[in-house]
Amino acid sequence: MEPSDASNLLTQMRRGALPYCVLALLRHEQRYGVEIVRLLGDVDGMVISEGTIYPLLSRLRRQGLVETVWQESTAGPPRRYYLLTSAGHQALEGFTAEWERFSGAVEHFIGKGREGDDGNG
Amino acid sequence: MTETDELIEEYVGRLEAAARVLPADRRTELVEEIRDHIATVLAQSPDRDEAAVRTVLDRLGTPEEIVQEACVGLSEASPAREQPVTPGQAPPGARRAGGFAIVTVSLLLIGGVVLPGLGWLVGVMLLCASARWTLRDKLIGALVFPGGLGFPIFYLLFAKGGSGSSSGVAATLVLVVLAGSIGSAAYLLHRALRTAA
Repeated sequence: MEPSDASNLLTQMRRGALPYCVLALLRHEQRYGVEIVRLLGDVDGMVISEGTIYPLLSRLRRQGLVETVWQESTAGPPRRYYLLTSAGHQALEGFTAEWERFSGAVEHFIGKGREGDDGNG
Repeated sequence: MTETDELIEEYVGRLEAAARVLPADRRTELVEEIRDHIATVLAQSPDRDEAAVRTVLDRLGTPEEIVQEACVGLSEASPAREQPVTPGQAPPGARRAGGFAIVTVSLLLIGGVVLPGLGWLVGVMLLCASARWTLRDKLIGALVFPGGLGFPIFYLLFAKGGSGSSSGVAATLVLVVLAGSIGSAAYLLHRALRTAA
């Protein structure tokens, strides 16, 4: 396996997981675009170009996973808020369960605190 | 217009230009959203000087990257496509995919000759819409030699009146573009058929 394969794979994984991270941000509350972008952008390793979140949000809306409402803002123009639809909640729950299994399995083999390493401590 | 306004207008102008490959409603929506984003972030920022504007634009990424993301799944309309493909199952129409790739690459290469401008644009839309190529492939296919063989061929047809050394330079340039667009077409075809195999 070449190093570029690993970096491609990580790019693909990030792209694949990002929509679900967006859904997860909306699990308990509605948020407006800039807020979503900022929350994702502030976590290292999640998003490289913040502008690409908008096409993603638009896609999630067309897929019926999120819907939008316009609300007045105390500062500046009205804002478009995003909230989860019931299909969005379902998609998020489905992914969350599978993700926990999968990430736990990977962690089991390559995680730092795996068995055998902490035997001497 | 202030200097920071000019920076923003230049960025949005690039975005509008890159977004021509998108359907009109998506293009309008995307440009509006990015404009809103810039305005909202700057309104919340303590200062609005050149450095602040540049930071906002840098964090957004290039307009081309944003449009590239907007091209993802351009042809998909229903959430059913989100369902995972069963592992090991060959995607339906794998053979058709080879034909699709050939049509796309042909349009990119000679579409601009058959239907000036338009044929190439259709090629770019197919290229963007296809999952067969990676983001890098798409950027190479669309931006390295835009227009395919269109420019060199029209040049050869209509610009015979060149004189002396300038026509020598032009001829070299035409040859480079000819070779380059054929090369990038071959690259796209190679990438597509490799993933189809």
